[in-house]
Amino acid sequence: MLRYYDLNVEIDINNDFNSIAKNLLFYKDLGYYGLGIVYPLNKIKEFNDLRRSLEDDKFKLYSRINIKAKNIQGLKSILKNIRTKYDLIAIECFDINTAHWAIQDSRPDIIVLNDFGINNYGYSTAKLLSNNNKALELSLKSLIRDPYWRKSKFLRVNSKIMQHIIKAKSYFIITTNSKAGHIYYIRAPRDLMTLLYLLDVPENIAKKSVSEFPEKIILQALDKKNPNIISKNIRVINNRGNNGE
Amino acid sequence: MKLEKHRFVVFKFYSENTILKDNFIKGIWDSIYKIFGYKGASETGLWIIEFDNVNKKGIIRCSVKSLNYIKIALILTTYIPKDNPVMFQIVGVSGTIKKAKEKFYNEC
Repeated sequence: MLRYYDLNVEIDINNDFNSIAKNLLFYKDLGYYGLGIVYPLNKIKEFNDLRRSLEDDKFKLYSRINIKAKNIQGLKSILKNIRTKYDLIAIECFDINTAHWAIQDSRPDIIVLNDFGINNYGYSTAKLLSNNNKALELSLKSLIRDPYWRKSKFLRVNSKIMQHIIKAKSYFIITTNSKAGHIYYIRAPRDLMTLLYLLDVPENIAKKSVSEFPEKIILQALDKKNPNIISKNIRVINNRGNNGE
Repeated sequence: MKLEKHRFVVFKFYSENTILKDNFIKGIWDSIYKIFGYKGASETGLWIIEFDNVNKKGIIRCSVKSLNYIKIALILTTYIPKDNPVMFQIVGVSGTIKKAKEKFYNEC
């Protein structure tokens, strides 16, 4: 059975625990297996409590941070300290050089497609994503919430980018929740796959965008977070030296 | 003349308030017109088979060609009527009404 993921779930941390848990369990009812929850660093203890109480064999939560990067220097200074604190790191770029740097750096996992990206990301960016095993995140919230004239623009510009992504065979993930105002703006994973028909994405690739691609991104990210894994295929199996033996 | 093939789409919905069948029909047609226009709407062959506003589920019939149009129109319907948020979820699609009821409608 396929496992479905939404890696960008923004919850209102000021709400009480029960209301947050109720919202997250609604995702479970819809068929999601894993969620990437956006949490600030100073509330990471609350996130761990939430994770402990909600997680089971059929439902997993991952912490995520969204970084808005305007230049490479700023991004470097932020990334320096947070890799081990979050499961997933997503970068939203406003400059093509920063975007390409973020894709090539080992620490970020997800590149968010924003208005800047829509106008500037082409085949070269898609190929770079593919070579570095990074995922592009496309939010379908505009398709669900915005007025109809804006939806047609969304379809026109995003279908071009999707063609580049498919041609370059790079990973992409889709999400609805980024700042969802109402719980009923969320959609079930299989319904999101259906919506990709509007962007001319083939059905088999649409299915991967909510199951296989996010799973690969999570596995890669957890490997990066693990201090015993130095790089791909290099792992510490015995750290005797630390024990003084 | 060759008979048109149909598909039966089983759906359930989430809403805080009760949705009347008439409002549902108006909402789904509005959604189809807005997304696919009059030409697209003419090809759907849409027919409401079941609509249960107590258990919040239903079955609609459409032509095979327009199956994706109908699914998308349902998924993109966010308000019925204008001030009541609603969320539709496609439970399953079947070629016969008997199978649709046995496999999906009675299960959800």
